[in-house]
Amino acid sequence: MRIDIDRLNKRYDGKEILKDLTLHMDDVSTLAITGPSGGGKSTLLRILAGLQKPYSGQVFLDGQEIRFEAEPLHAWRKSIGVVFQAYNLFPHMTALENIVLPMTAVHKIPRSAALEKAHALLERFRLTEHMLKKPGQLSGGQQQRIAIARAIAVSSGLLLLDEPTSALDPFMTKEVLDMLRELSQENRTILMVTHEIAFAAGVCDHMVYLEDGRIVEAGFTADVIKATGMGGQ
Amino acid sequence: MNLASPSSSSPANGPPDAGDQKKSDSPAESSSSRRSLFSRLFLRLEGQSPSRPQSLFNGLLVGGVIAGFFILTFLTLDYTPRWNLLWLYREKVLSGFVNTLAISGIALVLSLIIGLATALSSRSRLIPLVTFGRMYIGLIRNTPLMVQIIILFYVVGTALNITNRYLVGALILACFSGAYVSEIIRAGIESIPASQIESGQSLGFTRFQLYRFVILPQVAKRITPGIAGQLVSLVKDSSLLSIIAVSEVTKVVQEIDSLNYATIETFIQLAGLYLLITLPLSALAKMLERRFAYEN
Repeated sequence: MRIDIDRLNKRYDGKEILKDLTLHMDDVSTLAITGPSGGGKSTLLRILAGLQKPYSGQVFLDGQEIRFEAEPLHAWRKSIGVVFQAYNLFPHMTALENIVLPMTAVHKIPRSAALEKAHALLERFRLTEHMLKKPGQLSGGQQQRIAIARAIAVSSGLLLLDEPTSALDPFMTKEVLDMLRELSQENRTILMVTHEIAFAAGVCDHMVYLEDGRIVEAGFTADVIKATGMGGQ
Repeated sequence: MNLASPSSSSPANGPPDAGDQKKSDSPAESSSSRRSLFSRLFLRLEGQSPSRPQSLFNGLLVGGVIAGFFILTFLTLDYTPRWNLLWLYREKVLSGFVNTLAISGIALVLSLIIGLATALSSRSRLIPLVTFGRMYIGLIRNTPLMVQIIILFYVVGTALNITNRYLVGALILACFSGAYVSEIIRAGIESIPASQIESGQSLGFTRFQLYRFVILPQVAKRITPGIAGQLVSLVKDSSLLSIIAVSEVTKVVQEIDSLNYATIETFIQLAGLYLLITLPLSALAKMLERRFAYEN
């Protein structure tokens, strides 16, 4: 995927979160967005996901501009998958219904076809035994894997993740990262905010390092890690 | 021994059960038989609910003391009570009782509709809607119900030419209760974490779908105990409709009293009639509260 971001600004209560953020990258398949907390990583991801509007600036993905008016924005949100830190799932529904509902309600897929697709995804990620449980009965790692399955069930090819493992313990982090590693080998673009540098080094072809609302480093993962000294310790 | 493993796997299935099973084959059981008479009668085990016999015993004891107090105060009056009056007029009383139930039931359904509409309008982007909701709730919650009944019945009801007292009565109660229901629903909606809304938006739900599939089902679960409590208030508040001559049970009892001058007996029995409706509702509210506390 080609990513072009031009002079993106975002303010919150007078505080500048993104400052003329500009980024041009080509051939991105899996991108890690890293940097210190409060640097604007999540804000950038939320703008890409169409959940926040920038104050000014433009974003083009594969030459297509993300337009922040109601209708095109809704269409954009429908077309992508997003996974957050935690509490993604709807707690009053089973894991299975969490995956099926967006397909039937938003994408108007017939229920039988949606169920079939959901079963296939659950089977593939070894979650079938949990499909009738509600989120409260699942571990954090299982919840995140269901959330990822839900996101890819309805997204055509772009998956955005905002620190998907930061609320998990190391063991659960591994199971989620293993799932993402598997997904990264498919014909799909993944953009993820993460602090898991070792994972990013192994899986992400590209990386950007964001600090104080600006891109400090961007490029191939190994180069960015070397330039920022993140691999050092 | 074999009971221990399944009981530990799902705490949601009720801690009391798990506790009972554990007690039956643990050494704690023998120590409980050594407890003093006082502690066996009046003290519950740390972190546990009172046992069934304990609840019953203490209930009878405390209830007896309260009833005894009132009976004693009553006996100090130099008064010969006539307890049979409501029974003599039983058909009137029954029809009043049914009217109270019907008016409360209709008012509850209407107040849920009003409350939901007001709660949703308070989140609208349209300013007049928000302002209207805020003023409506402010006026209703900060003025006496009696004043509202009189103004709405004699002024608004007359102007709009609604003459059916029962209809007007139910509508007034619904307006009154709707303000409280609205606040319960609003608090319920606000208790849904923003992450749920964001999750729904990111999946492409429209605003309507977000409320329909994500927010309101969760809100409904959380507010059921509060709504049940509001229903209890509604039933009691319906007694004020007697001032516009709606023949609900309070009005009927007032009429019986005005013919027989036996206020104390008839009103004590009236309280009993209200308890007949409100106690089961309170029990229901408590049960729902417990059930929802274990889920999620």
